[in-house]
Amino acid sequence: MYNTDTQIQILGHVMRHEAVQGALQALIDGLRQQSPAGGRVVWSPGSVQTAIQDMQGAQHVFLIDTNLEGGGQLIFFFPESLSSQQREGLDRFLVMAERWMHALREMDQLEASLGHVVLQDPLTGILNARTYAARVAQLVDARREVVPDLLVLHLDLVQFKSVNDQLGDEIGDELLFAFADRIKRQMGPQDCLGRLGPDEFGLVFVGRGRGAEKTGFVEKFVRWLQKPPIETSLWNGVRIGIADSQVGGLRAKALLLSAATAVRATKVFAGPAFAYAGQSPQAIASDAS
Amino acid sequence: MLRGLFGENKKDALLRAKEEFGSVCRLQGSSREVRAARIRMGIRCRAVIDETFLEGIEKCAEHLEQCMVAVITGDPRPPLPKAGAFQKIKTINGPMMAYIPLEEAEEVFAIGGLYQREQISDAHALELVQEVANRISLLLQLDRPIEPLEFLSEKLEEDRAAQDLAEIRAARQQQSEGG
Repeated sequence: MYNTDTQIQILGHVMRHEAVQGALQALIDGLRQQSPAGGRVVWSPGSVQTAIQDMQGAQHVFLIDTNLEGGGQLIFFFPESLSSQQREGLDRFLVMAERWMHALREMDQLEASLGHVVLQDPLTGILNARTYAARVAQLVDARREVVPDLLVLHLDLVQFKSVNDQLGDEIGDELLFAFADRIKRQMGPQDCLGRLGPDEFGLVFVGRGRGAEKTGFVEKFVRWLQKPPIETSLWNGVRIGIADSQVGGLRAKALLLSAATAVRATKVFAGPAFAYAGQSPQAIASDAS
Repeated sequence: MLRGLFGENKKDALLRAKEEFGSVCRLQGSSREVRAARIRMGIRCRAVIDETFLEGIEKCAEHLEQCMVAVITGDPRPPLPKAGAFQKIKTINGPMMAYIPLEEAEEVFAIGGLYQREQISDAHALELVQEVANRISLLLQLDRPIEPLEFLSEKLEEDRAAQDLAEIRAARQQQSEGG
């Protein structure tokens, strides 16, 4: 009869790393070497039950039960009576295996925390410029096979510097935070928002219809965007450049560049305005803000 | 003792929130620091007003349900829910407790209840809460009044746009039938 001596949980997302899978193979090789005569190692990617059937008759069995998608366990089975030498060998291995798992968990946690910092803008919690560009490229790739229905917007806060100058950086930060927060509430699950510069944001809308429906959506959104996100009369609204993939084609860099060029074209107006790429800019009526 | 936000205990957090509101109301002048403090408090008060309105809606719905159960079981009616002057809000520095005066909080809470029972329209609810927000804006001497319940004003705008569209379509229909 076999006892379950110990079980070590392996995190699923750790298991997906190629390096970790290689290390697991090394672990199995180690087990094979340390396995007393007659012992076998069973690596079961399926259930423990199916592996147990394969264990019948073996004197010493180590079962590694892993499910690479959802997590897994290392389970060691062996007879109740082991020689002291065999016991020592197993103990050494178990200590090594536990250290190994501990190190992996630490690495994984570190990677997760670093990823969080590297991917996000620390002030607003939205994507930073680099991640935003990567996300736009990802969206473009994903839409290549279906409908090219992306609207890429470049948002530039009008005279934002005056808020910082007259009220201080802290209020400027409050404004940026509130501005991003308001936009997030309008976004769908596939849309994405990034901070491109101190007072510039990028926004992608996915699947907002065609023709008049899309035009109506954009007009409503650019007006909605002019409302002050915080209680200050120093708010001057937003300039918006828009690149439409149904017009400009599905190339991420070209869409981002077109939106940025369009927003520059709006600077002929002192206040809030918007422009589609390649078209004349239009001022946004002051009653919207 | 229960530890609250930022390691403060809850009582300290509430005291601090009330004291900060009072100190901003007492600020004199219009220096950069004073204006910044007022705006910061305005942002917090807007969040408190919104949360209090939503709480009024939720507590009113719960109370109505409890009353119905009480009628069926023959138990006495539960007491009316009460408003609080404090709400936990999201800020740039993480969640924190914020305050508006109890009288204003009770008013906003009650308006939420009336709205839940459909005794007032969207527009009326917005108008009544805006009046409360204007009073708080005056206390804080804000240069731009707090605009609360953005979700409700957006709903109103959408309703108005839909109504305009329906009127335009009806007019076109009449024209085509007449022509």
